[in-house]
Amino acid sequence: MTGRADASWPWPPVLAVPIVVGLLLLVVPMAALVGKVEWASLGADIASPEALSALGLSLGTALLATAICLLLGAPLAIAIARAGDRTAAWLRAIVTIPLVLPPLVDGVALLALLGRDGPLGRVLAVWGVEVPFTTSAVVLAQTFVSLPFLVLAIEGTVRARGIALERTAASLGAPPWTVLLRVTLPLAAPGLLAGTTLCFARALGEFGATAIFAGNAPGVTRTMPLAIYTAFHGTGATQATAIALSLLLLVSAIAVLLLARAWRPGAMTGSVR
Amino acid sequence: MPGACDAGERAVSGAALDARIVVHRAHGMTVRAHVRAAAGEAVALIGPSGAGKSTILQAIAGEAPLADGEVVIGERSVATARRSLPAHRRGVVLLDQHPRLFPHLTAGENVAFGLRASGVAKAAAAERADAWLDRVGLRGLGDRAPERLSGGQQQRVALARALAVEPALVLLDEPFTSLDVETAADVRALVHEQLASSGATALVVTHAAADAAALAARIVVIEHGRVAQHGALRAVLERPATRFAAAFADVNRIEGVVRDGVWTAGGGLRLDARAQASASTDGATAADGDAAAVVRPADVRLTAAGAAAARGTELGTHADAGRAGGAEFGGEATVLRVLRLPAGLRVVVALDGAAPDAPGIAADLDERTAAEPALRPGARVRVSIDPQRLRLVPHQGSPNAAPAPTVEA
Repeated sequence: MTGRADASWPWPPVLAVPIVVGLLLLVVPMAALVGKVEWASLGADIASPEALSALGLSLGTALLATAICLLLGAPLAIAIARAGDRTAAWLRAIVTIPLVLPPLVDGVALLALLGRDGPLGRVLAVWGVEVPFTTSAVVLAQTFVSLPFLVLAIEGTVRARGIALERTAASLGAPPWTVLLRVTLPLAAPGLLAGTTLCFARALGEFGATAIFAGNAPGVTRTMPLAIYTAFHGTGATQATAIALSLLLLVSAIAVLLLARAWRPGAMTGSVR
Repeated sequence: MPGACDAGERAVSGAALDARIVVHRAHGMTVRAHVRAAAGEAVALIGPSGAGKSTILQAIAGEAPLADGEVVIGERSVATARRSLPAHRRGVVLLDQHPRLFPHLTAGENVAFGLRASGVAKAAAAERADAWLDRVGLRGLGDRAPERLSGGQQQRVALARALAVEPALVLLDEPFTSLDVETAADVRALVHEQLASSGATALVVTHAAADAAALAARIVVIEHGRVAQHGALRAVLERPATRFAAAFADVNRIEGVVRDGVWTAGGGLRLDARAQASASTDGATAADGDAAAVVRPADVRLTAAGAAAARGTELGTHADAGRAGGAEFGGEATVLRVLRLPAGLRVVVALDGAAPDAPGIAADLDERTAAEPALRPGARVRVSIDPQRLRLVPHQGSPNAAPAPTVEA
């Protein structure tokens, strides 16, 4: 920290203090977690039946949720990217709601709709279909909270590029499906990749909505986050297993975020307009 | 079936265009124009900014809805006020200053795009794409990514891509403005050559007379959303009927009136209209009505005015100005401004008696012979023009009419 401002750091040097504190605040708890891992029994902890069940459930539901998010989110993202500024602002706000609400509330909302007394729940009950507290409920909860990530990531990339290339493609004789599959989607690839990985990470880590809407039945709805929570309340997996699972989640989060770094706004626009 | 035609073979791939366009633009301006092009013909569309040229292109391409009228390409009615054929079925391609290459495809894949989109097999399309890249001077660059091509190269790829689909109509909207002078000249020549050899019908919107002259056989002048003048390129550039057209053609225009075979204008200028008409080779008439005298800046001579001793001293001429003497046409004038152009000196003067809003008269002088001290703003000079270098053009559009609200077209 020098006593004078220079070209590469034109701000007050004392900013170094909050910068360091902020970084420490983020990094130190993670380091403490890693420090609490019982390395000797790590393998056995992860291979314990409770852990494997939670792991398998988490992966399966998160993958399915991500696939659903892609199918529903990509077209929506394109629509928002194409919409006028004001419409787009409204749509973006709606899409972002699950992000800013506490996930618990997301779960309550899903329960209100699909619970036994909910409008949709009642209709489904007629056919003997009950969604809450099933594995499907886990997938639904994860989709609900992860969709915003996918939509916003893709929308940003597509909007930045504008529609000029699609128009050019059409004028060259490309019918609408060709325009979508050969121009729009390939060019949205960076945003698609980032959105998909963030979406998967979020689905993997989903807790609140799942707890309320899907419950905590081992093997059916006890995902990794729920297993960790339960362990710290005395039942289910041991605390060591909980720490091991937490480490797993931490590592996968880091891996995902590094992958998602591939998304930079304007990565595809470059010098060719 | 063999692929794109080889150089030398002339296939008329373009279709005739007949576009009667009525489009309501923002700020109350309506574009109401009838633009036509024969199959395989290139027509230049010129006009001041906001006149409606881009609107016309948009209506033909399908990006602006018609309020009335019809666009017919070939045999097909492509758009009316009620229905509109989607862009991918019109056969209309657009080239503007942005190459708009697909960044995720190589140059060759870009050129092959339209062919693949219409069902041509990958190998055949790649072959035709390579042939086209060769025709535009980019042999061997098929595997390059667009971002590794220069601006001029990207425009060439865009041209090849557009022509490879054998479009019914090619729209060009100032495609050379983002290129440097040398590259622009090369690409312009290439566009002309390829349009001609592929038989494409083309509509070229441009602000540069060089583009129009290089590419088009006919010109349509659009002003305030209407067609102000149209005709063969040479005819329009030599006999511009509006102020804008004259400015575009870089000729002077003096507005006046013909009555009983005599043309008069402010400041005591007069001309025997009947003599002009009988001497003209392109069917000019001496009918009564508004008419403008048109003359090239190179044909305007300036001599000193004022004090008797210096009177008549040549102030400078252009190398091929008409012969001095004879029936003189001219008058006293005041110098407005002196411009240095790459080719020499241009002196703009205001004739005594001319309307206050009339554009000045430009005289191009050889820099070496021009008597510069006498040519300063405010200096008095005498303008003289060989009448044989003048043309009388019937006047279109009153200079005193209030201009319609213009919009960035």
